[in-house]
Amino acid sequence: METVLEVDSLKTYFYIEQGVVRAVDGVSFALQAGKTLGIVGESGCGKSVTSRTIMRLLSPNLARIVAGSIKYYPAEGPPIELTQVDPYGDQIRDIRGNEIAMIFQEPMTSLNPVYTIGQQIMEAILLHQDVSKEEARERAIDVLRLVGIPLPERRVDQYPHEFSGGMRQRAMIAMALSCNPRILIADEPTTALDVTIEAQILELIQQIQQDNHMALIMITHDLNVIGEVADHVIVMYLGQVVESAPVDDIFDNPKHPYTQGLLNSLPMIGRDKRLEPITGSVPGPHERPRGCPFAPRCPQVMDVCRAESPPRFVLGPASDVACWLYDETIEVGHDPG
Amino acid sequence: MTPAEKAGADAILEIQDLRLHFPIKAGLLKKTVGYVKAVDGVSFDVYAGETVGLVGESGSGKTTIGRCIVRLYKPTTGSMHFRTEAGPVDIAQLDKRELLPIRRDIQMLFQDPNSSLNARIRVGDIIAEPLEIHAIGTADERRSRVEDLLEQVGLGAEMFNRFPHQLSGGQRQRVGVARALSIEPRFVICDEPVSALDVSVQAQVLNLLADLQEELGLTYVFIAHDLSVVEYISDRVMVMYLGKLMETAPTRKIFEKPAHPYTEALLNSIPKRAPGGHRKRFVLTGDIPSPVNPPAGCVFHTRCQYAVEICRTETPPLKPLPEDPETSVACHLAEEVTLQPYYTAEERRNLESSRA
Amino acid sequence: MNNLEGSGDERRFNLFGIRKKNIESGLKDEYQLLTVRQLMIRKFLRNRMALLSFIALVIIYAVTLFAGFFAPYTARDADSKLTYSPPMAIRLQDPETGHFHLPFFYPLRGKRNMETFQLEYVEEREERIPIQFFVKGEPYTALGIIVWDVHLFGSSDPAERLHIMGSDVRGRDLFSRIIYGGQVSLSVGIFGVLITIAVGSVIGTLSGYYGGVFDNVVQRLIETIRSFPQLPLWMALAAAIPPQWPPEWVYAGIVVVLAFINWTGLSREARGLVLSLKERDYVHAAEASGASTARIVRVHLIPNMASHIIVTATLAVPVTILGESALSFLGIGVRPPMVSWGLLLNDAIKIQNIVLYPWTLFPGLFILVAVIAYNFLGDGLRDMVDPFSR
Ligand SMILES: Nc1ncnc2c1ncn2[C@@H]1O[C@H](COP(=O)(O)OP(=O)(O)OP(=O)(O)O)[C@@H](O)[C@H]1O
Ligand SMILES: Nc1ncnc2c1ncn2[C@@H]1O[C@H](COP(=O)(O)OP(=O)(O)OP(=O)(O)O)[C@@H](O)[C@H]1O
Ligand code: SF4
Ligand SMILES: [Mg+2]
Ligand SMILES: [Mg+2]
Repeated sequence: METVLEVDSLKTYFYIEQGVVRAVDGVSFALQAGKTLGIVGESGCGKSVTSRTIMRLLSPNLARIVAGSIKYYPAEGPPIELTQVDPYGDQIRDIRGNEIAMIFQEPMTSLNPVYTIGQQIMEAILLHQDVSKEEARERAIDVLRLVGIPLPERRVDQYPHEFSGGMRQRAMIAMALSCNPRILIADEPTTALDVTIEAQILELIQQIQQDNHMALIMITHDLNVIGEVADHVIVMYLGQVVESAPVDDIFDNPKHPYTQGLLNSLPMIGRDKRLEPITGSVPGPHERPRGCPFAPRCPQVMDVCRAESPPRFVLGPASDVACWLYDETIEVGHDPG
Repeated sequence: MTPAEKAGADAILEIQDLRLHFPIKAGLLKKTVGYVKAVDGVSFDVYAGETVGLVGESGSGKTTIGRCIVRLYKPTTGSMHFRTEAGPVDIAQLDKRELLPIRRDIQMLFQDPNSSLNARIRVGDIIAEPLEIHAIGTADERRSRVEDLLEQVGLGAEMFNRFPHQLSGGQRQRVGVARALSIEPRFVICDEPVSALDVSVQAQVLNLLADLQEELGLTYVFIAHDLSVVEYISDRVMVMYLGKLMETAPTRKIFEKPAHPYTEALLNSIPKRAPGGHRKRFVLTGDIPSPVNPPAGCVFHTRCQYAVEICRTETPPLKPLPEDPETSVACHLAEEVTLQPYYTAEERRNLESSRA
Repeated sequence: MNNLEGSGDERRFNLFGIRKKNIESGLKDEYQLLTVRQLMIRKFLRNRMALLSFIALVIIYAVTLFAGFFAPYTARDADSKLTYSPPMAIRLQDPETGHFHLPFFYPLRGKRNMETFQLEYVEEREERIPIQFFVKGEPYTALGIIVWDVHLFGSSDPAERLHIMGSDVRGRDLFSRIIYGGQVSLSVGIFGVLITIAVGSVIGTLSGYYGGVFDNVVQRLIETIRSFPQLPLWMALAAAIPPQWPPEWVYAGIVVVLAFINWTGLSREARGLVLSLKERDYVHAAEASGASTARIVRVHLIPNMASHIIVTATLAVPVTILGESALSFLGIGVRPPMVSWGLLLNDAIKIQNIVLYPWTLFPGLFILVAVIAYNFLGDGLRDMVDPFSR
């Protein structure tokens, strides 16, 4: 397996008026070419900040990478440590869009309303590739056709407001794909869309991924989407990865009490059981628990959980979980899982 | 038959041919140049004590129907007979003053917990607002009622003096529930009340709504675009497309035996896990057309894979299936095509046994 | 990368009361939950220029409010021997020994230059007139009721007058007149804006809430008013004030004229706010419960609009002050014996006067300071209204 991106113990903190927000507080994962990594978690758990940190899109005045590493493995040459590059420099600009591309949640706000769709795609192409304007335009029309926009020759000269929500998201995808990136980060690409359009977009992303052998990071709070697209899943809570496992294990044999809670909260069609929600709600940054971040809501909490934050216990070749229940040296009253 | 329908003519609300066309104005003199046909001829009944799910894509007119029922909008045409002690009243025709007593019976829950609470007002006063408007009780009585309500929705009386921004999203939504219930309505329109919430909190609110319904004998119209949520909470489901009802049926039937091609397409679009690989599925193409110029004939024909000539010219009425009168469908081919269900009856049995 | 010690950000945070140890580690209270008000105040305090401007405006208003006390003379106190006298220097140093000396000034003596026929002033170095604090002088009425004759400072010799900013054609002390003039100029700003708020927010709210024909008519009216250039419209309206009116009436008339244009801007702001607020779900919830329009406006609209309206109003004050100054400068604003900064500037209307008596431009400086301060203050308030933005 070819690893294209490796994130290790990443911490990104925000420094704002009220103090420190530990938005990302220990995230590790490895991404393989041609595979899909799903990042799932509730609102505010740090999914978007993780992706923006990888792309180095956060202003250093506001957010700081406090610890950890992000290694990008280019097709040739030595790995690049993305935490060390200048966020405004040429090196990251070459990588961004060209090798790692991103699709944002809100297609409306990430497209510039005063330029045509074609101009915006061409700009991305011209920035990274040594082609003429005509060639860039041809390529723009090609990618628009690829993402299933009808009459791309005409659509290429239209403005974002002339596109519907689903078409804008397609245009975003076209822009992201215009330079054949090796990694695509999709940050909730379908959250703002209807189910029928969501289905179209998910289908499209997966098809393109297979054709181009691209690595995909799919960020979402929707477990059903994760189930549909991901190969490997990391579950985040309060900025930390609490569980990392292949997708089937996450659904059929979840280990962390939070993952279990999420699945029991999820209405599943055909299951006539009362939902068993996790009690309480995600604590705000001012009431951040000591020890395990999930301890205040955990039905299986033990004394050690409140005192010390659990390390990651490796359970298999591709799975680990940050929960004291899996510490073999601790006597656990009942069988977890 | 669902238990609610068994109660016979127990319809608490009967809607007949409801239409709401928003005028589009343009120019210096604000001339009407066209209409957004947000709701275009919708008829249905709601039975006391049941939950009717209303699903459909964005812009199909779900919110507009809800707002017509609570009379935030006055319908263009159509009648809405609401059963009161004095017999059925057509709330579509009432004026502001006549509506006041009816408003105690019909309340609405809103989608966005941020915009549904006034940031400058304390939680206690937000919940007390409907009581104040209807001049119910003294200030002290209202206060104790609000404290009871706070307990009832699982918040605790100490939240009385908080401001909305000091609460989490789920807590805010509970405040919204408490406000809607403060004047003891019988009928609640829930307009996507859990769409903006996280899964874990969404489940809490869904359970709360279900418990309150049981406790207080409420009737819900539950608007949502998430079919799994609708499946969980509703007794019956109505599927909307471009201002019209496409299909209404008991929940289980919708998923086991969809009768309208659009329902089939919706079911197929739901993301779901296919253990051991990616599922290949049929995906609806294109976008929802504009409600200003809806397609002639069946409004769904532009995206329907089964469409034939008659679909392009003639509008199919919503009518009960001969072999299954609980299900009503607006499709010319309703009795001819066999549609793919979300799961077969057998799959369902497996699901149930495996999860039990 | 791991090391937070001694970074620029950290120092920045310490300024705002977040203790250093929080940043170092300490899991507890590293993040404070601030109330909206606390956030707003912090936001405002962070805008140094706004804070400074606020302090400056408080001082200026206090001085003009107690004009009689702060001004060494009354506005009408004239001395024909000292017409167009230049500003007199306040000295703190003995010219011979170079040692510190209590504040004093040299009186001016006028001499006519027989070639230009200009009165030229020279300092009388023989005499030192001490400057006294809390000196008794002309009686005045403070706040409309208290009659007093003590001034903050002044010449210890009533026969030798002190003009720290020079004097005008009739030998009246310009500094005193500026302070008195401030009463008019600054209050015109306040009253003009009060009318603007009252008219603009009521009309804007109504037209936003009800829409329809009323809104249509109001919007067309506003467009018509705003399609005229501002100053000529003010001039035309001001010229319509009858000349025989007493000065107080003229003052009121000018206030109304100035508000006549300003309300349109505020009314648009209010209308826009109402249009967006009335689509909020909490308004829908109130309507669905049967709340009356009056209740919705009172409980839900006004409190949410107030802060935005205050910002707009604050930014309208300097416009009004400038308007009054412009009209008075052109001679169609407030009339003597009232004084205002614009009227005082009227002395500098001739280029020849500016060359000969440049101190007649001092009132302009005050206008400038007041206008800039209000603009900074408005900016600061605007930041404050939206405390969650960064
Ligand atoms: N610009 C910012 N300034 C301060 N804090 C921020 C900023 N952006 C994000 N945060 C905080 O960082 C945390 C993580 O935010 P993030 O956007 O990554 O969440 P998310 O998992 O993407 O959630 P969602 O599902 O809502 O998109 C949150 O607590 C958020 O409040
Ligand atoms: N006040 C209004 N004026 C004009 N058009 C409106 C108004 N409210 C809604 N519409 C239009 O009516 C149609 C139906 O809107 P509605 O809000 O009822 O849809 P919905 O089914 O609730 O969608 P969503 O899932 O996005 O909430 C849309 O095309 C919308 O643009
Ligand atoms: S570590 Fe403890 S508190 Fe945390 S999830 Fe595991 S059992 Fe629950
Ligand atoms: Mg996000
Ligand atoms: Mg809606």
